[in-house]
Amino acid sequence: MARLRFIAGRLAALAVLLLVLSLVLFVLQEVSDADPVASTLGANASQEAREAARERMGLNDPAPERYLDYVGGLVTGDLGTSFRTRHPVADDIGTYLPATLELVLGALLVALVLAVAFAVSSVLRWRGAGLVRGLLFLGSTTPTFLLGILGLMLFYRDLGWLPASGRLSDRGAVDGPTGLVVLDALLAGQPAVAVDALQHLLLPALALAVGPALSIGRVLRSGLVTTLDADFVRTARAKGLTERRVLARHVMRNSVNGALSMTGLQLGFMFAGALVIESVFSWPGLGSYLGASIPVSDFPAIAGVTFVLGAIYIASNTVADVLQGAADPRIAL
Amino acid sequence: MTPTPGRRGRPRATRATRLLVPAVATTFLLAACSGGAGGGGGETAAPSSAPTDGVLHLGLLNDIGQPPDPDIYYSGNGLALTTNLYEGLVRYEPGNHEEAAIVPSLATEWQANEDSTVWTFTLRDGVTFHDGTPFTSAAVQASFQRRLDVGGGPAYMAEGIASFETPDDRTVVITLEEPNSAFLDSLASPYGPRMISPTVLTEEAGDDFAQTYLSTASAGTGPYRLTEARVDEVYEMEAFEDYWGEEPTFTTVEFPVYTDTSAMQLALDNGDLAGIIGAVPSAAQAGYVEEGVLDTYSLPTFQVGVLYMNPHRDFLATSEARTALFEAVDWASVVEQVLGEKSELATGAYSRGALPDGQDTKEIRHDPAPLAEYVGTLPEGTEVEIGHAAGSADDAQIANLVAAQLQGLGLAATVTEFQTSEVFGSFAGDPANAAPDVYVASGTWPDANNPYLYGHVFWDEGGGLNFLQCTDDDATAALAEGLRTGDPAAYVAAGEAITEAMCTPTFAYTNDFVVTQPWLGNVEESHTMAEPYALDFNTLTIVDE
Repeated sequence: MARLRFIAGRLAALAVLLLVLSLVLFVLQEVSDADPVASTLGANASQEAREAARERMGLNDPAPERYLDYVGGLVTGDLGTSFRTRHPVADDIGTYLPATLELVLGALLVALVLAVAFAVSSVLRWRGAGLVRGLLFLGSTTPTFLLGILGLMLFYRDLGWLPASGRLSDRGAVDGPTGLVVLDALLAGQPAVAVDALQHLLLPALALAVGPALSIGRVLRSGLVTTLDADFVRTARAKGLTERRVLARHVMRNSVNGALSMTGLQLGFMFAGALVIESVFSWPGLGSYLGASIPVSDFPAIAGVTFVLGAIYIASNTVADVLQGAADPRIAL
Repeated sequence: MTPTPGRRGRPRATRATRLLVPAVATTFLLAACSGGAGGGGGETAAPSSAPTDGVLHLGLLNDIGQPPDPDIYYSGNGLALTTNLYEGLVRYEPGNHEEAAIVPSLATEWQANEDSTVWTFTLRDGVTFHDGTPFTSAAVQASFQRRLDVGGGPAYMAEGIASFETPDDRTVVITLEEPNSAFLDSLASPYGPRMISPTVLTEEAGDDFAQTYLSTASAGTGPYRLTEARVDEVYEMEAFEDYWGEEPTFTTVEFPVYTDTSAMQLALDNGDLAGIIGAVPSAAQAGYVEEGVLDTYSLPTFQVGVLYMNPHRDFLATSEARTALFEAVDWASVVEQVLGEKSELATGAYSRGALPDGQDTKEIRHDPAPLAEYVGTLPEGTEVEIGHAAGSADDAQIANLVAAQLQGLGLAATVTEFQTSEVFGSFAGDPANAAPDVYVASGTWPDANNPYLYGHVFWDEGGGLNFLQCTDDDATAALAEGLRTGDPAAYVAAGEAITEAMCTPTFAYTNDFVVTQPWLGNVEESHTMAEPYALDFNTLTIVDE
């Protein structure tokens, strides 16, 4: 019951936050000097053409009316029509979001693997752990786009192991149902296509994962260090449990709370980072969509993407909180 | 067995996990070490082999931004699509980089009456649209009308028509409301009216004059037809089997969309792309030229580099002040330093070739003394904001160089980037408040190379590229006279007047810098001055290596 109340509270907060977000975006658009009509029609459009476009785009209505119309549309799932693509923004987001989700989920997986490797190797003092720590630190302090370019130069140009751009070598190889091409290829029984999709995914996911991996790994390492010195761990060893069992059953479970919380935060940051990485790898996701929409002041598109990312950010933190509670029932939600 | 505790009483790792860590570490180390290897620019380019499947892969830097619909599209890199999907009655001659010569396209002959108000076109026989509809005179009027109905940016080129007559299937007579000596150039412009199948315009009209249909399909007469249009991802064209002209070597042309210049250059260097047209940054061009592994071309276009100076600011309100500022900059050095391989110092008020040889001349002087003297009369610390387009590395670099030179003369110069929507929007609407003092554009171009069409957009009040609304009455009057009579002397007078007024002076003629794999042939002959970022793909060939 407490958990349900917690989730309901978070959903209510999400609605309020998105409303505030929509207002902020709208005001910013209003006070900016950008003119979507001019950028849509370009130079030399006649005054008549400009006026017709303003009318068509609803820009002649009073600002409060436009804002209320926009919010009303949001409630019904209508995010407006993109000035640039001329498609409904909801449809555009449906097209682009799966690519971003696949990239972020892939990066999250890589980040978790690296974080655990970093934390465990540090705590257990494996040979080479210092090097891993140093490289992760170096990677996390390197701008994400530079990491992507360096990855391209090594793995695409020099070694030729991985592709440089896009999600698949043959774009038409798989189509739906989820939009996550690795999963779709597996569902369609096309393992070769799934491998190709993974090859396309690996480099951008790795570039996106390095920074978050260090953040998560540091928190996990701190938790592990504290827990390994706890009395119950000594007791578990004294009972004759193998070290692997001690680590997996007792130490890890009691050390992950902080790491889970950090993972929730980092997941949100990963969506922000994806906007940069998508540009480097020509990944056709929300980042590419947003990047092309900003210069032409495509407000419906910019606002739509911001809403979706805002919602995902809050939702991911909510999930992290719920998982914390599940991992450690002592934490009251 | 209880494991042996390691130092500080912690357990040791297994052999497998001990091996894993250095492996991961080595991977990262290699990645980190590769940083100094350079990135594109031809330093490590390796030519690829010619495709055997007939597919030509060419990179697009950023999405084309608008649907590839000829009545909507009004930007740059998408011309690679629209000019190969659709054709007009006439066009600028491909391969001619000396002058803007107009040659037949879907019209084989044309003539105008004495005052350029009645234009008669004889249409090409045996032409069909992509949907199989025969091209006849009826299609011409429908296409012009559709342009007006859609009301996009290039709609103005179809305005001012009093009547259409179609005495037979092969003849069209267009009567204009007023004399217009630039009419033929409007038709030859890559943004000019393009012929679209009347069948498609009727059957796919929907409620938007077939705009939805034509965002993912084509209905022109061009050598290629649109087979895929995924915004921000890829565009693809296939050869149109019933094209009236020569059969192309490449049956498919694919344009993957890149959003990062370095990544696109790496794809070219690795042989995944056959070429990049006009999108290689200036800083990387010398690398391709010097290495010589890939073929490079610097092909003349109508593009110009211009300096906008805001006459609505007190300290730039006079032509003397603007002249002092313009001449204080060492343009020869700026052009060579930034634009390098793809540019040369401008020698006229118009774009290259707008007027016959020798008629449009000017000399760009470098003399900082007048500005230094002028600055002495201004309040100390007078600020100058220099703007440039966001995303243009060349413009940013030029703006910074100009700022540095102005700072050296005592002005507090700063650099600001602006989004496209601001430049095309609020600048002209409110140049006194919403625009910078100075704005740099190193690669902008008129819709066509007729001197009227150039002067009208850059110099006239309300001109689409007159961002800071700097005008001169004498120049405007001379342009209008030129439009009416077609007399080059009127255009010369307009150029001299605008140079005297120092409104929007040119500082460079900018070329298309094209890099291709060595097996791609006929590149120069497939390029048209009026069509930056584009080639006639049907005339490209594969050369023996």
